[in-house]
Amino acid sequence: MPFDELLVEVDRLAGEGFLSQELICQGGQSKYRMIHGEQFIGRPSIADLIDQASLVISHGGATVIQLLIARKPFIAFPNPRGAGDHQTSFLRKIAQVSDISWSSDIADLCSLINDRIAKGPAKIRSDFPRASGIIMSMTDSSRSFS
Amino acid sequence: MFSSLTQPSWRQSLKAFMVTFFTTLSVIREDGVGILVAVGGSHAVPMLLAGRMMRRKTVFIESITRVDKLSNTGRLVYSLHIASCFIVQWPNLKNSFPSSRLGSIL
Repeated sequence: MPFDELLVEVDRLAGEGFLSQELICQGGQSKYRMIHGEQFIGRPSIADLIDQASLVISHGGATVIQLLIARKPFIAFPNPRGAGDHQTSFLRKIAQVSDISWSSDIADLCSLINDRIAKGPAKIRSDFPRASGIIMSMTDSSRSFS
Repeated sequence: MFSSLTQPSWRQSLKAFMVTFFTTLSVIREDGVGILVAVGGSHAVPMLLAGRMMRRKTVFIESITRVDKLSNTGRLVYSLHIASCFIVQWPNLKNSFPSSRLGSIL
């Protein structure tokens, strides 16, 4: 799903010198070409890039989960082209259990960056049952049957 | 570019379905798989179907990005009863789909 609006805003802030550090972007199907940063289409995993980054600007997909697990400061914007706009409802829901920085308005990027740098990585509530626990209990019962 | 982002024709879909189905069957047989776990994507349907036919336990975990509506794959898996354990990651969804279980990957 292209997300040109976000690339344009990131590039604009970088051009104004607001993003002083090295900038690397996964553009996917977006048509916009960055002037102030390195850009690639996509690759199997961006875990190493996340690891190196001091701050990540992301769309509102499963990357958000990857970033929460990696305990990396990040800012998320829902891509309105997501099937049934599920990215917005996903981020709204995550925001109920975690103090993530997100907005549907890309103009908020600048203020969110300052906010996130001050707060550090978002924390997530962890009192839900674990999927892994459920699967482990199934392996225990299948062992006792055999 | 990304094959997963292009809309495949029904021929390609059917081929992918059959390949996944038969690959899963042979892996279950050869490696003695006891439990199959499938996440979000559409490959879950042939995988879990193969697992069910081989009388293995099957688990489907809906994507954490699905907050109030199941994915199309999730709906299909739920209504076909091909997952012996159907896990959703948000309490809302658990209430709408009573035989699901709540379990987060986080």
